Formats: sequence, structure tokens, C-alpha cells
Amino acid sequence: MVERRDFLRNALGYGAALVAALSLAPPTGNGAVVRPPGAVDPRQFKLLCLRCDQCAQVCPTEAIEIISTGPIEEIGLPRVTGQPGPCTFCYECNKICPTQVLDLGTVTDLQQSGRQPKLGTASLAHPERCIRCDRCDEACPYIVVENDLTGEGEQVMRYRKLLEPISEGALQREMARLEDYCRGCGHCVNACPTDVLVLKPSARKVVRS
Amino acid sequence: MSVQTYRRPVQAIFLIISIILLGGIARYCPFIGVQQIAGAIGSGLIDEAFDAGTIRGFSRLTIVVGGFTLFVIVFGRVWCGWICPFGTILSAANALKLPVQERSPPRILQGYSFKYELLAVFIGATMIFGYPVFCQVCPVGALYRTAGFQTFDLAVIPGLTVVFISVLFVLIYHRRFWCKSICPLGALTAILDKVSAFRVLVDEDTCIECMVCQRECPMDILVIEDSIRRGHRTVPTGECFRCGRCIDVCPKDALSFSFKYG
Repeated sequence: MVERRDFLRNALGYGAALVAALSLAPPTGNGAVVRPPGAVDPRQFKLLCLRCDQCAQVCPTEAIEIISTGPIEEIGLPRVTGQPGPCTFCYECNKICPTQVLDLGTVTDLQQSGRQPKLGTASLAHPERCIRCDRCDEACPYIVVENDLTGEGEQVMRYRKLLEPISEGALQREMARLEDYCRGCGHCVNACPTDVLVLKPSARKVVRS
Repeated sequence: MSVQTYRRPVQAIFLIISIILLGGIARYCPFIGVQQIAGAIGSGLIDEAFDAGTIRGFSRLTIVVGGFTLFVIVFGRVWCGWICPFGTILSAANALKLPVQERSPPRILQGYSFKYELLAVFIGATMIFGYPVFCQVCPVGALYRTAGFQTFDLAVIPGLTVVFISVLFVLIYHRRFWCKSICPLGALTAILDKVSAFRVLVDEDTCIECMVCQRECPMDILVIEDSIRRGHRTVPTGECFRCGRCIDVCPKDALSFSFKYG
């Protein structure tokens, strides 16, 4: 019976510890990272992802990184940073995911309706480091093609433009275009020699077509 | 034929299956399933949780958690002693029988109750925080993710620490402390094991109460004191994981596996 008394006493202690942990819990990282294609909403993702690492293992370009620092709940979950490789939208991760938190259904539906999933948006994190080499523009595989097709004859993703002194209105327009057309694949992040660019999560789930 | 002659190959088969699956083992882990159900109740995502993933066309959660529950109700902690890959690794460490000085383990590892407390804490935390909390320190997950991944991933460090400490304790004390006092899945198994059908039967007429079985038990179960001396025919369930070592060492063959209650 000594054990049972200990058990009850300890249970109270654990209850108190849990309440303390709850009040001191770090802010949740919901939506703060860029997930691989077809990811379900953040609450579902953190509950249902098995942290099995299979998406990272199967990724041919090593675009998927397993998070190992930051909020505890994020540890073990996959993210796409563009380093060491960019996402090529081969959907191998979706095919292997055992719980469909990287949902193959979502991406196939999108593809069938002629739309392309969007992981996030490349953004200028450290403009002061930019050396104006234009490698990001050269690396971008999607936007150029799309614009050639529509005949606009102009690249939509123009980080250079964002770095130059432009009017507030022009800046907003450029940002909006980035948000609309950037797929968040990370080719530009990967190409950038001075780590100016990072991928940021986006509210949009598909790129504008 | 001793029980170990059957048990070792069974353990080896499940270990090999788990090594083939590596990270994919998470899909079949009942404890992540239990945590996900708890988390789903906590965050109201029950439908989404049961829809996430299928095994042969059925909901993964239903198959894994339901299958586990049924198995344990019938076979008890055979799960821990014959199937669990981490149990097998600890068994192997125990089989080394390093010549170390006998000493008494820390107090928290002498009782059985700590694992139930941990189970309550992890289930509670999962319901509140909405993600499988135990998986962040799970030794099995860490082992298989380390083995399966080319680059070393910092996320496995807590789990590997647990592996290291558990193996070390097995080597020092020759007892399965992880299974006895810590493992929350072991606690869940132990709760279901109370009603399990597959038990160790003691033949009161042949037993000479030499207590060799009690000394040999890796879970420190009072095999004779808690069974025939208290008027029961079977060794109390809950903590016994049916390794059969007591059956093997009994000089009078008074112990055996059976499906008898009492």
C-alpha cells in the first residue's frame, strides 16, 4: 500500500508540474515553418505526423529537413528550407507519408484541376547582404516559364526590384506578385551565395495561374 | 526444450522486421496511436485522426490500437517480452551478464508504479498540447531514425539518451528497469494485462518453493509468494511479460504457460 500512497502523492506533483509546464510553454510554432507539399493544417500536422523521417529519407534533392531545434512540438517534424536542395515537386514525400499529413490526394486534385501547390514564399531576410548577382532570378524555374507563356515578357520574381529605391505602391505590388506566383520551392534560396533569401510560410496554398 | 529456445527466434524475427521497416515502424507503433487518439480527443480532431493513413484499406489507428488491445487482452505482456524491439535489445544486453557487483537500484526503479505515473503524464500532456509528447523522447523511434538516416539528426538525442541509460542500467543491475518502472506503453500493456488469458500456471503439488524462479525473474515478480502462497493457481498478471525464464529454471517443472485463470 506504500506504493499506492506514493502514487497518489506523485500524481499531485505531476499535475502541478503539468500546470506549470502549460503556463510556461513556449509559443507554438503553428504555421511558422514551410512544410513539404500537400501538408495539412498545423494542428492536424503536429498531432498526426509520426516523425518517422521517411519523407526526408525519400526526398531526392534533400529538400526536406527534420527540425531539431526550436519549440519542442516542432522537433522531429519536416520542413523545407531550400537547403541543401530545392523542392522539385516530385511528390515522393506525399507518396511515402504513412498518415497522409503530406496529402497525396490534395496535390493530385490540384494537378488535375491544373493548379500548382505552393509551399511558401521566398522573401528577403537580409537585404543588406545582397551582392546583386541575379543568381536567384536565374535559378527560379517556374515564374519565368509562366510569364513567357502569358507573353508578359517579364519575370515576376524580381528581388532586385525590391532592393532598389521604389515607391511604396510599387513595393507592395512586387510583394503581392511574389506572394501570388512564388511556389516556395527554394531554388533561389539554394542559389543565393550570401543567404539573403529565406522561405516563409504563406496563406496561399496554390499559385496563381 | 526451454521457453527461451522459442522466444529468442521470435524476438529475432520481430527485430529483423523492425530493422527492415526502420522509421516506418512508427506506422505500426500502438503507443503513437494511443497518444494520437488522446490528442484527437483533446483537440477535437477525431475524424481527421482516424482518416489519417490506412493499413490494407482500414483506418491505421483502428487497426493498430484495436489490434494491440485485442492481442494484449489475450496474450498479455507477451508484447513486451517477445515482440517489442526495445525489449529485445534490452534482453540482449541482459544476456551478456556482465560480471558487476550486486547493488540495489535507485528507489524509483524498485517499484512498479512510476511507469503508470509517466503514462498519465504523457497522455495528459498529449491531450493538452495536441501532439504525441512521448515520441519526442521515445528510445525506439530514436534508434530506428538514427539507423535509417544517413546524416545525424539532433532530434534523436533525447531518445538515444534514454536508450543509453536503459541499456546501462540493464548491464549494471541485470534487470529490465525500462520495462518494469519507466515504459509508458508497458504501463498501458500492464493495465490490459490484468485480464489477459495467457498466464504462467504454478502446479502447487509439484512446487517445492525453492524460489529459484523468483531470483531469476527480470521483473522482480514474487512468482511463488504472490501465487500459490496466496491461494492463486497462476502468477499475478500485470507485470509479468511471459519471458518464461521461471519456467526454464524450475527444477521440478512445476511452472507452465496456460490459458487458465485463477
